[in-house]
Amino acid sequence: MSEPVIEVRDLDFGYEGGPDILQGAHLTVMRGDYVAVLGPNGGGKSTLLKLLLGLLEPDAGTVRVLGGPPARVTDKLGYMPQYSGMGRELPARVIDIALMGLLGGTGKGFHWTRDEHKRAERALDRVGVLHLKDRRISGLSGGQRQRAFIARALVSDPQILFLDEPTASVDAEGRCALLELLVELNREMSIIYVSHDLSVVASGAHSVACVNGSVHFHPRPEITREMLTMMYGDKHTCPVEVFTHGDVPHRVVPHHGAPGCCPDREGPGPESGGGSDHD
Amino acid sequence: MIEVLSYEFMRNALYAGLLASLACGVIGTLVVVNRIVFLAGAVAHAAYGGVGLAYFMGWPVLPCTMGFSVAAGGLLAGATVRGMDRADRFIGALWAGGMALGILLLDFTPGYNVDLMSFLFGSIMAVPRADIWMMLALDVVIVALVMYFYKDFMALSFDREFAATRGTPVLLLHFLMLAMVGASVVMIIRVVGLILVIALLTIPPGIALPRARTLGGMMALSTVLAALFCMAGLALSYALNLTSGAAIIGVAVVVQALDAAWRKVFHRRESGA
Repeated sequence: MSEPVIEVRDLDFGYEGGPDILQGAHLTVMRGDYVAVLGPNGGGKSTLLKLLLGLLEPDAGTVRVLGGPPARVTDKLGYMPQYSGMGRELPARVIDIALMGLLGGTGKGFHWTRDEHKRAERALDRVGVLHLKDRRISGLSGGQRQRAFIARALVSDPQILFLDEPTASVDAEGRCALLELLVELNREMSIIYVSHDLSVVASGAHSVACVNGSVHFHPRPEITREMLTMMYGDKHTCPVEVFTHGDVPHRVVPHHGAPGCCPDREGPGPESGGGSDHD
Repeated sequence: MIEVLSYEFMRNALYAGLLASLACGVIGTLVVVNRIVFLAGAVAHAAYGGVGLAYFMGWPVLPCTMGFSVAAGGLLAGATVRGMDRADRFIGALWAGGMALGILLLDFTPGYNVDLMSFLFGSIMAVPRADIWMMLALDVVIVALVMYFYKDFMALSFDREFAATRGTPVLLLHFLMLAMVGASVVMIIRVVGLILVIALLTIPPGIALPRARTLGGMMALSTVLAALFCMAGLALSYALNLTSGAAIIGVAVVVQALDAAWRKVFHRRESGA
């Protein structure tokens, strides 16, 4: 953790005609870190991610990634967007999806070079779906599909990997495997993991950034009562689904009779599709 | 049946059908995978404004309609840059407004009694040679553009946001796609008319979608299907003296229904398709 790879200073951002989503946000991420970016829906997590990727321009303040404006270093950033079901109609093989990660550095036309194919296959192999490379992406399970999308982010050998709700619509087993994969990838690259699923804190993340209008950075992988209050309000401080590795997932619930326990969250983790922050 | 082709108008009809099929296969595929069928419908109907304008000003019909419809495509692209949700009403207004403009302009055109039916339902039997050449040129341009930007269109169709992070010119491609929709629609209007454009633009790619593993494969299969529908429809139209556009669409719809029934019975439906 020698040098910062992400520096955000005094960042303000609001979508056109709307209120500010982020105000006065600060964030510094060091090389090799694995940051869990947590927060409630609408708190600005995905927006922050898009600002870091240069997909949005800040209204005020600065965003520097790998020492420069994000738009200038996109070839060194790997991005796995939130899965919205977009593109479900596209007939594409898994290998085609991985190859898409090389766009920008490739030529025009139909043709992908042999070297590009090798790189895509290497990325698919790394996430364990090489055997599915000729299958249609629409025929994969949720976990397999997310792996293919991680391969697409990895194929350009990024220095920072950005993931937006990577475990949404993945079952519990697939989620654990995915988190293990990320720990492995973290040996070679910094990871920014956006989620409202807290289990990542217990399984790999080095630090936590809470995003709810502003950004609070905690250099340790822990969840404090203050964080929960900031993220979910003081009436709902029991929303936690914390998984640790082991035979039985541990679940912390509030004391009997505590007010405001959310009765609607019964399942193991947030439902898919619940993470649409602002669209 | 072969002796039919000794008639010049029949040969031209066949050429027009085949050339329009290529546009259907390539552009229809993009329309279907990008889910902009409704936009294509709006462009098709707004194109009638171009027909009216051509007669009112005394300009050549095909180029004028083409320009009008490409412009309508550009307008729609501008309205949908930030996503489809907010553009809904605008699309509806352009859909009806363009058509109304065409009819009003024809009303204002003195002494000209245009056969509205031929634009609504196509006039493939009356395509002049000059139009065939123009359609060929358009096909060449469309195919060349789609081939050149093939990877980008693929990324655009799959996930615009990701495509943008990889430096794909998303905005340019969005405009280009709708401009090509505009041009193709006019070509297909020649064959089946503006009411039926949507069917020929969506049915072949719809049948091809679950069978293709790549975007290019889907385009090729859609083109072949569209061409088969056109030829079968033309033959039926000639043999039974039917309206050609409706006969072509009739064949397409029947094949689609058979295809749906087949896949239902044999459970061959791929997941997600």
